[in-house]
Amino acid sequence: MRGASASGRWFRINLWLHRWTSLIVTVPFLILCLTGAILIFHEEIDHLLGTVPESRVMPAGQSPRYDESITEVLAANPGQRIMSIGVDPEHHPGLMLIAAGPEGDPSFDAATILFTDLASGQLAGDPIDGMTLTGFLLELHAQWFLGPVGELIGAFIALLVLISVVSGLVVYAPYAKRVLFGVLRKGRGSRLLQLDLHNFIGVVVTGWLLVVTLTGFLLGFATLATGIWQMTALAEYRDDEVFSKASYSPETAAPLSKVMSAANAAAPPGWQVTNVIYPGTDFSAPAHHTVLLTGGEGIEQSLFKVLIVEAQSGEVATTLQMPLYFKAILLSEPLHFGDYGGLPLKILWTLCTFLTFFITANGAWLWWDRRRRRVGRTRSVEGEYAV
Amino acid sequence: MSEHPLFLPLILAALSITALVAMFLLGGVWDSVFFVLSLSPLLVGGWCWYANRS
Repeated sequence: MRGASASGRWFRINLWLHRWTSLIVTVPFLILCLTGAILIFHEEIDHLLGTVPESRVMPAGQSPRYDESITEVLAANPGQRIMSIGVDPEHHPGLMLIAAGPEGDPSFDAATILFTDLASGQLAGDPIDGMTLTGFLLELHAQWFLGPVGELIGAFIALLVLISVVSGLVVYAPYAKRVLFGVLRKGRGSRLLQLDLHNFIGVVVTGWLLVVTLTGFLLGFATLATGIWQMTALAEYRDDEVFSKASYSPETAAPLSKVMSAANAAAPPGWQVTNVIYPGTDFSAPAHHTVLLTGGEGIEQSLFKVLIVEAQSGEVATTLQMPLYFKAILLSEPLHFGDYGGLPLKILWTLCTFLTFFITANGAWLWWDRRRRRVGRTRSVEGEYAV
Repeated sequence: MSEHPLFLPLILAALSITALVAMFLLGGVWDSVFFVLSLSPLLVGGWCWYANRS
């Protein structure tokens, strides 16, 4: 039986793979476990630190004051323009997030994030100008502070972890024939106990670890996929004569409320506007809004539909299709962070993260201990010969 | 089949992955069923450890 013998070539290849892929990623993976465990609770942390203002209840029958919010932000930030807005009625009802940036800069890098109360149209909370605690941890976790290159490094780490898990299963097979699952051999030395713990916990978290590493691998290509989408589908429509030659003047353009109404009216049942990206950014044409719609049920909550709305008239001009690779990456995010099943799932994610942290560290200890014993044995043999 | 040394690890991993993905895809009333299923590796592991403790 392939893989069940501890002396075969197949076993030795997998042992080598398991040992070296694990050792290469030990330190970065321990960091990923720690930051990931904290990021599972990013919503709760942001709430505690007051990063996002308290949600407001909209008075019954009152329409959200989108246009007043825009006017308020522009008045409070002279020289800035609106780059995008976002609403999230499920998690942050009554609030609108607005990204405002310098005139003429298409990038979101220098944007300031502000919140407004949709019931009053007034500013809510403090603007986010720098980096938040969870933003700092996310940049470390997802990009290693190296931008898109760091994301690809993250994907490479995830690939090594995947190889380590699969080869670890092959290495586990001969052990499983000798030691019953769940048996922890106490009183026979720390090495055997740590080996039993490594194998026992490894089996328990294998399924979860495969889900998290595979989705982590896909998320490593998020910026790359966004760039490809910008250069293909988005560029194709931006270069189209109809869209590239249209004119836009913020003073006479259709108000946000009209854009939202037109996009919501054109949305499929159950889908609604969550983001409006204003003209002249990296993600929009010079005279058209890019409007993102999100579904209300199941996986549709994690997907987007894209509508292009003419800024001057506020009418829907066309729709853009999301490519399959983009959908795969979007669907990977909740499966990676475990934030789709409420607090019980977050606790399960945290528990599995700490168990994985433990077997990563104790796996490195098992290697170090074996090496230490070997060196000790070699020295004692050399000592005997010297005598 | 069940005598293969990797039978239990692979079954537990398959159960866990199926439950986590199904919970994400279907949601709603099935959430609690899939959540319990996703706990199966931990529950089986805990039970085996308890049964074999010395």
